Amino acid sequence: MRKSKSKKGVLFSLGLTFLSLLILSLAVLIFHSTQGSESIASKIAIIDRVYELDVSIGQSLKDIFQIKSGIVINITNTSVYFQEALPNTNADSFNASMKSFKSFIELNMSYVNITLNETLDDLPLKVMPYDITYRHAGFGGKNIEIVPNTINFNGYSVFMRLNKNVSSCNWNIQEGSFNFSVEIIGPNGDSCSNSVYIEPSGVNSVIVNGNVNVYVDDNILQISIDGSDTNAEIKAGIIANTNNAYVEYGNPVIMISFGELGVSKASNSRLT
Amino acid sequence: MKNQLLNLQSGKRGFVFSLDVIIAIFVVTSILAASTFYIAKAGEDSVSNLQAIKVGSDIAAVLDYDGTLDTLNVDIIEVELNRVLPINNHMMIRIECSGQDSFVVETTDIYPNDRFIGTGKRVFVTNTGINCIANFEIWLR
Repeated sequence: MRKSKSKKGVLFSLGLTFLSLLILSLAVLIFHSTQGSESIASKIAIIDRVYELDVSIGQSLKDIFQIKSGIVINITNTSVYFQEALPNTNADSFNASMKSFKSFIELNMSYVNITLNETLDDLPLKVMPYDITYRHAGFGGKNIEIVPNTINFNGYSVFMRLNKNVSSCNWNIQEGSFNFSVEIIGPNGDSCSNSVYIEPSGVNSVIVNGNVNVYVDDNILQISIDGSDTNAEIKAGIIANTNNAYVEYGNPVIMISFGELGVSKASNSRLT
Repeated sequence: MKNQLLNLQSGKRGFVFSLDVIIAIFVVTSILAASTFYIAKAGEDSVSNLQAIKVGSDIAAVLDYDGTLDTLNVDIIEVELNRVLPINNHMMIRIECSGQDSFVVETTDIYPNDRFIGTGKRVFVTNTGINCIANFEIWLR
């Protein structure tokens, strides 16, 4: 009888210990599972931080472009245009603002790097998804190029308002199926304008007054003005079905890297 | 003699029983305490902390997009911050701009020591072209 009672006591103690251990095991399991979610949450937090920084730096670069560059980008359903003065007198101010922004950010955030070299020299702007580059052969000068990777659009369109009268207008084209519209007007309303179909891989040119040149050569549109006394307001772009087109800076400008955490992001800044 | 022995044995048994109870209580209490510790640790909600940081980022973005930060005016930013901030949060924003003294906008003077504080940054350029960084801290009331 006493033996049986003692056995019961032992069983009771064992049962209680087993139950306690069970509770402890469950608690440890919950703890480890939570640690797993915590680790995921930290990763999400870091990725979120990188994303927010990237977006805000991109937005700031866009703001600088809009405030300082003197270039207006206009996207319609059928075209993408860039409008600016040649020479662009905002170039120095724009470059100074970009340099100052880069210094300020890199000084305050060692994990951010902003690449500006090409942006300051030529200010290349990329039309996506067409992968077409609008760039200056020396930003602040009087030369502009539109460089496509391939002809995946319908044509070029150029409008120029000169500060000189249009006294001569020479067209030299190779006929094809690519739209090429040029309208160059002088202060008195005199103009040189036409819309033709060309072969863009050949050499096509419109020369006004002997010093205002609009070329389409090897698929590339080039606009140049020679002579220090000739200036122009230009509006140049591509003709295309541009439902989802957007414009961004031409080279990757923002690099955020939290190296020790294994998170980094390189991106361009969208301008539209 | 036999009775004496029985009494002694009975006393010993009582002593052993008490010792057993004490050890059992100690073991069970220790195990339960450890379990409580682990469960309490697990209860610290990292997702809600993440949510707090997200709210802070969103508030900074709203202040940037609606042009409030561009003013660089403590009073204007404070009014807008109090307007857009969810009622269960407090937030402090320190704004540093190039060539200017930094300043702080906050919804309370009391800085908590006993809860999670989410932090983040937002870069912005004012409409006059000044480069700035908004460093925010956010916590639950």
